[in-house]
Amino acid sequence: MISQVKSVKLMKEHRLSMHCIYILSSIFLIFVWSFFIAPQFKKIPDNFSYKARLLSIDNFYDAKTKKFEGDHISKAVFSYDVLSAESTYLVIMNTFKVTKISGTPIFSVSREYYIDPAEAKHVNIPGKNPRAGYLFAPQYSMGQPFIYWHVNYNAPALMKFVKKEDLYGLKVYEYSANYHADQTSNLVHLPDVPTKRGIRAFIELRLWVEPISGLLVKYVDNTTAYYYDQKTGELIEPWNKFSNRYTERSIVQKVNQAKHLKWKYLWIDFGVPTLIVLVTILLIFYPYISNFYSRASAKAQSNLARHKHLIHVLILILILLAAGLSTFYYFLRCKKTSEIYKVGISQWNNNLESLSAVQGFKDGLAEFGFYEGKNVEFIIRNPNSKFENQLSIIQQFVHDKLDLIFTLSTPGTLIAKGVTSKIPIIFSDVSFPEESGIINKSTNKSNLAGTINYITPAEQFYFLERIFPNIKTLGFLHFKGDPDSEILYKEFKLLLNKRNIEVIDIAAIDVEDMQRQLNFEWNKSKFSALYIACDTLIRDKGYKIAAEFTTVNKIPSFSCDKSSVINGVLVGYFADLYALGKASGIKAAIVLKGGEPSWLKSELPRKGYLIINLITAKLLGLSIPKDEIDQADSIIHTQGEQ
Amino acid sequence: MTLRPKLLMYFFSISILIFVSGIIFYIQLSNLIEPLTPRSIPRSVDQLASIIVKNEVKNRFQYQELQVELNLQNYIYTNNKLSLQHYYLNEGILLQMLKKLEPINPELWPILKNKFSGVQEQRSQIILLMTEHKVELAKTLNNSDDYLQRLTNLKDFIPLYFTNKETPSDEAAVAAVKLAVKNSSQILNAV
Repeated sequence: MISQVKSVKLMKEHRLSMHCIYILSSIFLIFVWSFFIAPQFKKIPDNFSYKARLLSIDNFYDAKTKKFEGDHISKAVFSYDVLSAESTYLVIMNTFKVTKISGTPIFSVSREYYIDPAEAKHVNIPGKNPRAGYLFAPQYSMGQPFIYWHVNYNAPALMKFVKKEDLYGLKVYEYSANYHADQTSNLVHLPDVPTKRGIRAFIELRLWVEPISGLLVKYVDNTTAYYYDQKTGELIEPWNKFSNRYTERSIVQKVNQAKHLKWKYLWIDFGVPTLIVLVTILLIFYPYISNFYSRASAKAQSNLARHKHLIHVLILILILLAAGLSTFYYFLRCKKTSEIYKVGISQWNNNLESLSAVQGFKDGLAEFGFYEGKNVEFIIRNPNSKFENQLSIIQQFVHDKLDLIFTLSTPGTLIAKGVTSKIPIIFSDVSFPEESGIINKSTNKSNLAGTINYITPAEQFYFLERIFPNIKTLGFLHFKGDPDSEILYKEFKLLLNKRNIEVIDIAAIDVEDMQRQLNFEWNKSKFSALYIACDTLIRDKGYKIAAEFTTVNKIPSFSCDKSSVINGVLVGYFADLYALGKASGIKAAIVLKGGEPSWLKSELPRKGYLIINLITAKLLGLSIPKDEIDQADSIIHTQGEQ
Repeated sequence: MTLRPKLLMYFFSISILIFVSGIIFYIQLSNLIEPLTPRSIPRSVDQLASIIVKNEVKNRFQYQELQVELNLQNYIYTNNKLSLQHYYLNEGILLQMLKKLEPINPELWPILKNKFSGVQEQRSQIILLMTEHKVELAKTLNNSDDYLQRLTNLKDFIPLYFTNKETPSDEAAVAAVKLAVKNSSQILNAV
């Protein structure tokens, strides 16, 4: 009896000592893991690379007119790459490169950062530009402020917490900062910079950061940069009002990267220590569990034997239930095809041509069995040719998970492309989709297809030349910075210079500037004919000014804009936007039926639309060849009417 | 018979039934899908689309080239301004078309460009002579062996440019699609 009591006591003591060993070992393991092993897994790797594509909108200030020129879209790349790895820090190159849509460089800046790989913080290296703060943001942030260095501005930004947000299923924190920075050293190509003037930027920067890993998921900056006097420091005039934001594709990429990093950090910091604690608990309680289990299993076995048949029947019922549920799910998925499709239309502006393209699009869809109100619903929005409005409209379309988006114009389509890479986009009224980067023929994966609004300069010029043959100088009126008009200008120049016809560039920023420049160029060079492009400015309000100018000054003119000809321009040969819209509608129908946009060609018009203004011809004393009249699709007999 | 063997028998029968019907369904489905596999139809259709596009571009380019030549001849022999305007119109269209031809055959592109430039150079010379009222000289240049040789070289080269060795046979692609349609129709009719 005594010996039994003794052995029980000894066993208890043995168990107690084992428990102590387990607990101490686990504490030791957690310590070693947390302070020596985990940091190795969490530190920035030597081959670290971060790349995001951005949509940039520039609005340059015109010193002559003392006005902003209007929004121009460009593309940018924002990247971090490790240059070299030293013993205590990494040398990381942060680059920001903006180019025009055509690829022409606008601005580029690169800076070297010295980063502690364990904490992702800037470290100060003697002889180098001292910086404090984080490469992106602190890990396990609870919303506390931190310092961030944006490559564009090279100044510390104190980022303050704004709100929590859900981004593609990832919890992110939004931070913002309003600060200013001197950009003189990066913009020495500007006139009188840095000798007399400098550039000061006033920045509103917003960052979206995954709080556990501290990874930057996206940013938006809205900046106005001013020239300032180098002597007095006083602001002189604005230089540029610009904004940058990640494309939706880059945001999705960064969200996925952040999700991966977040779970990696959680596993390293909490998963592994929890596992160690669990194993320790298991080892401590193993004898008790084993004892309990052996008793419980004996009981369960006797119960199991009693209800064996019942269990078999239950398994059978479960299998049948699972089969039934999967059949029901499949049926529901098939049934979804009969739902009403939602198509978002962003018509860019209220111009007659844009409206006829939208009507053509609807008719094209109807031709292939998609009727408004029956099996398709149109959500029509008008951004009024404003980039910011277009951005919000497309973002809303993406948020509402529409089945397809129809966009008009090059900037409108470029913005849509930047916002979504998943929802199919069908475009129209775009003249140079390849040159402007809307479509890339070398890649098979694309969510864009559409119709091209392009008629060769040779064809357009021919119909004017038939009426007015002796053209020596041609004025080319267009919206300054419009990518399509700039390419068309180059094509006209190439075509006509060979024939010793001079082409004068008249690039206006708004209607007042257009009036001023037309008067100036007319008084200076007396161009013998005028071409009026069909870009945003002309289609918005400019066509009336241009048409009036040509009739008042009796200048033979031609245009690719229908409204301009209706209002007084002599002749126009252009793509019929109704027909193009209809062709786009047919493409949209194919996509809604399950086709891929990459299967579709971006089509050119088969034939142009010829419109002649006989009133203007009479006013100018010009006779129209009979065959040209016969060829015309439309003739204007009464001013302002078709 | 007790409940246990009964249940076992049911299980066994149901398993056999599922297995047999699964095999039948699989064979039917594989027969149906086989001709429609991504390896046959989409590839063949892509080949056909590529052939159609190339042929269309080739025909339009050849037609445009003929138009330019015809307008030039008209201008030389009639000295009519309208012919010159038509010449410029068609030349402009032709030059635009030429810009898009490079991706079709990047290997032969420099040769085509070279041959085309050779002809265009001569045409520009002829037009210049005509505008300077040197009609006879223009006619002589137009009928010169050099110009005719350049023109023939270009015309002979255009079909070659559009049919390089990697161009797949349209017959095989058409047959693959027809075969797929025939097989699937037969299977569907049988079902």
